[in-house]
Amino acid sequence: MEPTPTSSLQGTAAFASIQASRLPRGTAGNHNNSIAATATNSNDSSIPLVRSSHSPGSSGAPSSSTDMAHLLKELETISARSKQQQSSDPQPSSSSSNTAPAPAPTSTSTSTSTSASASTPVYQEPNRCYICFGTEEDSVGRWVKPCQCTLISHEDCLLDWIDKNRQQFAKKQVRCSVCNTVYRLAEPNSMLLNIYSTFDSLVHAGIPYLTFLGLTCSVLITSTTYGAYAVLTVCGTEEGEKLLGSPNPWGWRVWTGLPLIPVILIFSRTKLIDSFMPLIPLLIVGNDQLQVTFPPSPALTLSVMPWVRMAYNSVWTEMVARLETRWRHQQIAGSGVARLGMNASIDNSDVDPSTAIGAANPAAADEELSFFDRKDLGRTIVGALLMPAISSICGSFLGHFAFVRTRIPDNFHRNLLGGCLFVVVKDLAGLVGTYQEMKRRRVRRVREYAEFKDERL
Amino acid sequence: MSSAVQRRMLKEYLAIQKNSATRPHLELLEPVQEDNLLHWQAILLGTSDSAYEGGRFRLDIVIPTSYPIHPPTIRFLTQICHPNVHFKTGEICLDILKTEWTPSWTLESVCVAISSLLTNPEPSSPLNCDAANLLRCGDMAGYNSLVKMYTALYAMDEEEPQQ
Repeated sequence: MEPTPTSSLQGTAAFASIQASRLPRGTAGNHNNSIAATATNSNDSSIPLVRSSHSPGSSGAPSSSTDMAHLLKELETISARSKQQQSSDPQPSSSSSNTAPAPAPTSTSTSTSTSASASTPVYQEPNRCYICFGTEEDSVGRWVKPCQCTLISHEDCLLDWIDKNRQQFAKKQVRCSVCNTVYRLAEPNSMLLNIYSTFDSLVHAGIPYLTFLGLTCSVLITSTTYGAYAVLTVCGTEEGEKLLGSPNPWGWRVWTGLPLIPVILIFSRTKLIDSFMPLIPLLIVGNDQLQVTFPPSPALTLSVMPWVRMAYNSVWTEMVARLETRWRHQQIAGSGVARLGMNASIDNSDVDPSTAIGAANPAAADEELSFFDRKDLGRTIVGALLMPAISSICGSFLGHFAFVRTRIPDNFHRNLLGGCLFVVVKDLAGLVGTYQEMKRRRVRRVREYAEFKDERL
Repeated sequence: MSSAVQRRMLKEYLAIQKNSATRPHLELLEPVQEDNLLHWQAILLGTSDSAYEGGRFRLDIVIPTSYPIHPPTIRFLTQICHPNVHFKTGEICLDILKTEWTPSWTLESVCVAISSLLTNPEPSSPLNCDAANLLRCGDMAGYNSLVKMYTALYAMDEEEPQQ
């Protein structure tokens, strides 16, 4: 890689000097402080050689040799500073290398010598920390060789890296990125620290579950509160409190029934729970004997309501279905054949009109229904949850009439009746709206441009 | 701590200048300003066998002060159509820049890795869903022509992009 043979000679010479300076240092570390002084001396002598080994590199680089010189100067000041620290305080380096395993320095020197002979760039200096890129010359710290490959590093750098990896899980194994050897730490095995770190990682792992639990609890509490509010609103304060019983202690029926109220209100907008809807009041009513009286007690009313709802729903669907078929017949009889179902009318254009209508009906009915079915999720949920308030408003409105007040003396039944009336009125209004919309669709058409080109906008 | 970053960046800088001949797809890799070694720029060249051929893609590299422990932040300044690069922000989805980072990577090797990401996209972790969907459907003709179009559109300007 070196451009000229002289520079490569210089490079090997520099390398040899570095090697020479390293060997006594290795032994110095193993034995005592007196030789460490000579080690620093030999280090000092290596400075100019290192500079000479760098300078051919800078002249070989094509661009900005002045910048290179400037950077090299900076590098040297760094190395000089670190050397001063080393020479002024030799104690830590020797003491740390005393604790080091004996074979470490020799093996590093052999491995680095092979790598250095394989590729000669100045960059590949022997004993280079693979984390901070510091070398013997320009950095301080204990060297470690934690795995079987050629990567060596400062102990502090490696500990930083391990710590960063263990931020999340204290027990995580950190591996060498090249040979995949697990780095092993010799650390005192403290019982207390073990317990602490286990607890710490448990907490860390448990946070998502705890969050989920907290959210569930808050939903449950909100539902219970809403349920109590709904019962008090619909039944009136006295009846409601009687129904709920004394809050201290509430039985399990109340505790499960109250949070279920909003859920069931929302699901009652769908047909999903029709099959077990009638069973739900049993939760609230409990073992009390049902007595048929007039006006019926709240418990009896609640047990009857699901059946009323189902009956109303089936009657209503039947009625609407009939109405819609009649309207559709009118529509087809009118101008809307082509618009009703493009495919059907095209496919069956030469078939008898009545069979064409029959064939088109299911698909067309779906189309029309999906057009008029404007119920989105938010509307369903909000509408369901507003139901108690609406029925109580309607109930108090009914209470203004003396006729109703004499027949139905208590708040609960008035509210219930108000709610039912509201549902019926709302459904009727929807039906009227649908009818109007269908009528308009039947007669509408796109205007020809010629018709309105003279009109002013 | 920050002086350790400076030292490492200085050494990486020297090595990059030394090896400039050995990396054909990296036109430029240098600090934006000579006195700040924590902010670099690079220019990747589209390889001749890929749809990015002829394009010059500018990278913005920010070195954190905790550098070899934490990875550098790299993004494309040149707009590029690639499954793992965000089309608007230039963010790169590459594991070695995130979870698989180790200090043994250098700026140079990371740039080489990004260069090879250009020719070997990973459509299963996309930042650009449209490009990734083309790849996942196996529509190589569509993918290549899309990449070529954006390369010609954004990466072949003669003038330097103002940043």
